[in-house]
Amino acid sequence: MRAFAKHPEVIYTELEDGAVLLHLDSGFYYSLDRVGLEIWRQVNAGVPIEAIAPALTQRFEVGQETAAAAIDAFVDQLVRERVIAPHDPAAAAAPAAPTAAAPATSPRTPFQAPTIVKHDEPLHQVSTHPFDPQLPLAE
Amino acid sequence: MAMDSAMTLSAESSFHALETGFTRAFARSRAAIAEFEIVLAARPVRLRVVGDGLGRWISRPFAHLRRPLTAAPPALRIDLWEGAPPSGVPPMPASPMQPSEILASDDARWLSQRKPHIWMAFDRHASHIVVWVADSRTLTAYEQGRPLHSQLLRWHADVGVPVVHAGMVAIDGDGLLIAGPGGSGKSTVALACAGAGFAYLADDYVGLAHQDGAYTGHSVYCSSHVDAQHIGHFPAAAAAARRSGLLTTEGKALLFVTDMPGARLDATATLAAIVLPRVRGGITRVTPATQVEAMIQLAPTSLHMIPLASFSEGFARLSRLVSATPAYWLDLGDDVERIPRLLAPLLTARLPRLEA
Repeated sequence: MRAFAKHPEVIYTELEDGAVLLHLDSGFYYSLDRVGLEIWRQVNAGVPIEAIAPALTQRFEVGQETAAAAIDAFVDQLVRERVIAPHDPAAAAAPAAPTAAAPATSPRTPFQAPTIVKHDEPLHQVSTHPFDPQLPLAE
Repeated sequence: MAMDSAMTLSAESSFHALETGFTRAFARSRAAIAEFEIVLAARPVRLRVVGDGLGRWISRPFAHLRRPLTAAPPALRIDLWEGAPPSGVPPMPASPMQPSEILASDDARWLSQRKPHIWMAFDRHASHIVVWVADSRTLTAYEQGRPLHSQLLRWHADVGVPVVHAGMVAIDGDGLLIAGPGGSGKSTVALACAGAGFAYLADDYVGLAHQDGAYTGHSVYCSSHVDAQHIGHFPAAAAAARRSGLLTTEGKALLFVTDMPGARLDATATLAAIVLPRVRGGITRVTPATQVEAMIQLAPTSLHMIPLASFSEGFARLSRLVSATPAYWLDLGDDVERIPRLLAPLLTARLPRLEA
């Protein structure tokens, strides 16, 4: 069972149409769509990757196999961007269970492969200097 | 030895050196001493200025916020003088574009920002800023348009009205926040609206107070920095820019909106919607934006610009703002004169005065 944890220097917010992440170490912003947010919630709650697909199939119009493949690819991206890191479930008291799956009566919403968008420039390059806004930032 | 002791000036001793320098200049000066009051973030701010040129410099960007002196205790005091620097402090090596020397005390109470020609120190506990200027004629165009920028942004955050990197225009007290990174067209949109009957609050920095579920925008400066090659679209703004005659190092024209014929300026407005301009070419149009898109446009520069601010708190605050406020893309084409007509319906069914 593989589990991951959010990088301690990542802050994020959940919004109506997805989530925005800020990696304070690198200064990069990321946006997640709705499917990405659902996976992020589960990963962030310590749910093992293999246990996330059933939660996704309850919320979205997607089969188990497609969901599992999409989750794997998405989690690989999160790892590559260092917004999550492997987490030893043995260190936890017990592996977390999938969180807050939608009630069975809720209509499932259309599924699209989850996306994470890395925004072009990190914070320290798009921003002006807080004291000398008219000057380019020192490298 | 004097050099050594000066080199080890702390933020606190910098403040006291400036405070002593101001007190002496205030007591001795035969030059004009001005005392006036402005309203920032709905709070009285008292300024004492020694030096004619300095008085003109500091009052112009706040002209729309000025009011007669009152007996109200000020929420912020700003003391400024021009002339000889505080005694015992050697001059910094002169280089017009060198970054400021920044000092902050461990507890973040004291803050000092120093350049060869200007030195500003802030005691956050006492809400007191003291400023020395060598010669007000040598201030850069940016400093003339947005004086005490870092200190005022820090103070706004201290009083719970953090400044965001956005412009604001309003109709009948209802405001549009114009958000986006540099070059996205914030100033173009603000000036187009100011020339068409909207009230102007800001083109780049606006304080946002959040109370009882509503956001109120607070104007800081009446200056605007607009790309010199675009100003021809706006005759009233072009007239104001000619009057100021100032260009920033980035090639932007500095103008004071108070100089724009027919322009109206408001100090506050209730936030109704967020507008996200982006230069696209073709026909200018408005389309809905998502919360994620609004956050990505607003957060990066807004979070970074307030000195000593917590990214986590700012991130959460902006998240609440975009969750509570409808947002729209404004795709800027070649027909910028359509901007006010497209934005007015976001505020009210009535078109602004000059568009009717």
